Amino acid sequence: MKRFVTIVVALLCSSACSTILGTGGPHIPPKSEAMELLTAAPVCCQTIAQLPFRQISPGFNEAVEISGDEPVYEFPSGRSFVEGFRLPVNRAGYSIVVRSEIRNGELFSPYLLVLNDKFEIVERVAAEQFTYVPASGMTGDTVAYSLNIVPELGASYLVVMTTTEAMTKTTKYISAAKAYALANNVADPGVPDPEAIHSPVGLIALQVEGTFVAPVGAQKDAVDQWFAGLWGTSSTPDAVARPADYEAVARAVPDSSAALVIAPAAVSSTAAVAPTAASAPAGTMMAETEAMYNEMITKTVASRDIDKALKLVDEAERAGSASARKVFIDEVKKLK
Amino acid sequence: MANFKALPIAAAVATALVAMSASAVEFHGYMRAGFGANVDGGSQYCYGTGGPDWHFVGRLGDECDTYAELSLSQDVYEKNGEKFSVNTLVAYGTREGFADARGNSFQGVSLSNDGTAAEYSTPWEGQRLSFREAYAKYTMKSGAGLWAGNRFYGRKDIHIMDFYYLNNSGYGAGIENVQAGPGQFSAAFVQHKWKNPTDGSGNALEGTQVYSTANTIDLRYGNLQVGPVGALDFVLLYAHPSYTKNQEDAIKNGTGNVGDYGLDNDGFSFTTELSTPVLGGFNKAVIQYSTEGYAWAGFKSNHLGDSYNMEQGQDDRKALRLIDHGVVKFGKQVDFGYAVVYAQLDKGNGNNDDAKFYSVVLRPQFKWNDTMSTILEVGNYSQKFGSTWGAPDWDDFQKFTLAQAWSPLQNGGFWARPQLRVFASYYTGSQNYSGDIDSENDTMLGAQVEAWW
Repeated sequence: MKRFVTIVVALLCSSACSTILGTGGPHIPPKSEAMELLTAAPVCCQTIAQLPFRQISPGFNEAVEISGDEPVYEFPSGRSFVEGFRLPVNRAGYSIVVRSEIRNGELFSPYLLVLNDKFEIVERVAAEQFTYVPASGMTGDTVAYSLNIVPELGASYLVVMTTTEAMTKTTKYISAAKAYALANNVADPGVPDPEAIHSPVGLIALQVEGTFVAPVGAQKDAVDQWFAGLWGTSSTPDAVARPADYEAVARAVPDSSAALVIAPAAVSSTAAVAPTAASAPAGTMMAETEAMYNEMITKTVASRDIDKALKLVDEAERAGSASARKVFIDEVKKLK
Repeated sequence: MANFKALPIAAAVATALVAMSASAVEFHGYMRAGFGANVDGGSQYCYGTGGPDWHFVGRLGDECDTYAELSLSQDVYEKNGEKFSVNTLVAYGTREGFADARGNSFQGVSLSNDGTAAEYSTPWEGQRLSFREAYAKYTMKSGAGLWAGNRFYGRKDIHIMDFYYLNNSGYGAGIENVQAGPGQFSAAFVQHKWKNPTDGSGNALEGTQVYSTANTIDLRYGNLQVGPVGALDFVLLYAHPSYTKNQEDAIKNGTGNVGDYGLDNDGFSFTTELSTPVLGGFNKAVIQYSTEGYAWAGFKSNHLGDSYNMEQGQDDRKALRLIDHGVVKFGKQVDFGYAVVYAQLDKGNGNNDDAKFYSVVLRPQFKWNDTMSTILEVGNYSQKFGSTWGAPDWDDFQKFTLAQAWSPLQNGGFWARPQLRVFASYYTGSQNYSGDIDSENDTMLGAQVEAWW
């Protein structure tokens, strides 16, 4: 027994000392504390161009802590901590997968702005367009969005922020007890799924791909491909089934109606106006842009680069084109 | 030539049209592995192990095995709200037992095929592989499902004890989640084998029926909401032994090993469970009543329902088991898992000297920061099997385990995995569990990983 006591003391001591081992994780303050930090922090800049921007390029894959010491910007949608990234230029289209992790029941609910080199908004992704991805392996519960960067739109900067409105909402996630039951093939414990409250801070991750990738939730990994080859797919072409997030993806459009200049908002909160919901149902694309996409699709099919043409179709539809797929199919038929 | 070229393009177009119908392969799994040392010398000694026994005093720091499950499943057909899924699971494990039989890292799974000692006779072996799930399920638009194959079926467990208090898994077929009134109804047929019948000389009784067999019906009515109290589940297992003519003759004449397999009585097991969401977690209160071949598993052994015990000695037995367990949160830093089990066995045939035991395990966990926790697990087990079994007094047994744990997924609290742990366990009590090892088995140190996904 004496020996056991010695061991226990050693373990307790190790736990006290192991702050050394235990400090590796991110230090993200709880929402209550973060709200105070957000309110108290001075506004960093008068224009968005003055934000610090960090260069990212394909291959970049890092977690970014938003912990309350980032620059604060006064957006029309409210005050937010901001992370700015400078995007690679002079390259073909590619995707940036943005994730935000639910930690301790709290989530930084991201809102994305893509800016051109004049710091005008060319695309925005609202918080609700992110898709919930359940925890798996070493990855916790996250919301994620695969943002396609189309060079033709002149994307030069990415701003990750959140909005006052988003912070009033919550995100439902699978309870850890239910995840245990799923992984271990035992009966569902019957616990209601918890709701993560949205915080001004959190842990996000950016992964910059070399090419376009499928929307979050529709990605196929090597295992999927192997099984697909083994069993084939039973879906018929008339069934064009789409994942639940497809419509959300389709709404993730560049606001091409007018390049919005981000003016520094009035500091008074009463004057703050939420950005208009980013939504452009199919068919609302500008005729010029639609024609541009259709021309590119035609050329690409003619050069028999079907894969690239498909990506253009997806891209065009995502931007609101109603004719891209038809043009694509017509062009392919012509190949015969 | 032009046509030849057009073909892959046509295929590409088809792919384009269905590209969004991707149905991912779901990969789930579980694993644990680690090592332990007996402070008195030698490797770890464990008092409870998953499988045939369960951890009456808690599993933390008391697992002398490596165990993993790898599960792959996929919806292979999905149309108009209906789907077919194919599911598989393989399990890998080292030997289960009190003594540590984890072998070395060596490229051998088993060195002999005779099914005897190869499992664990040398540290170069000691590994097992098993196909535990292979089934397909057709899920209809209504949510009701039809399935057949081999599967883990509606298992109910207490994680901190590695105790499956209901587990009618195996080969079968059934319908499940049929909406019926306020709840859902499921029915399954599952077949369980028991032992190999032999004649008076120890030879196999017959060539065609290797094992004695019991056919089981599993009827469930679940998810019946009872206001704020939670939801009720009812489960009835009913087993009927089915013998060949040769086996029936042997039973009638009492020849061969009929004592091992010849129980010719139907039995049942009834479980009622109330699940209540409470304190950011759940509490479950369970009552189980089991008879005949279900009685022993319904009393003390693990995995009630994964077999029907057809030993003739099970005749007329009845078991009652009461369980309360749960996992709750106190604030943001403290998680608490607990389980209380009480059971008694009526030995049957007029023997009024019931066997009894109870078991209590508490596992509080304190979170220091986003990655590190300290876990305490305390367990007590007491049993009195009665004078007719030579155990008229209460025997007891206790475990205290303290562990320091690290996990990246602190969102999960109690359930945060993967988790790395270092632990110290101390065992005490009047019950002599450690007779087969030549040192005092009271203090163990070790490190372990546990993960699921």
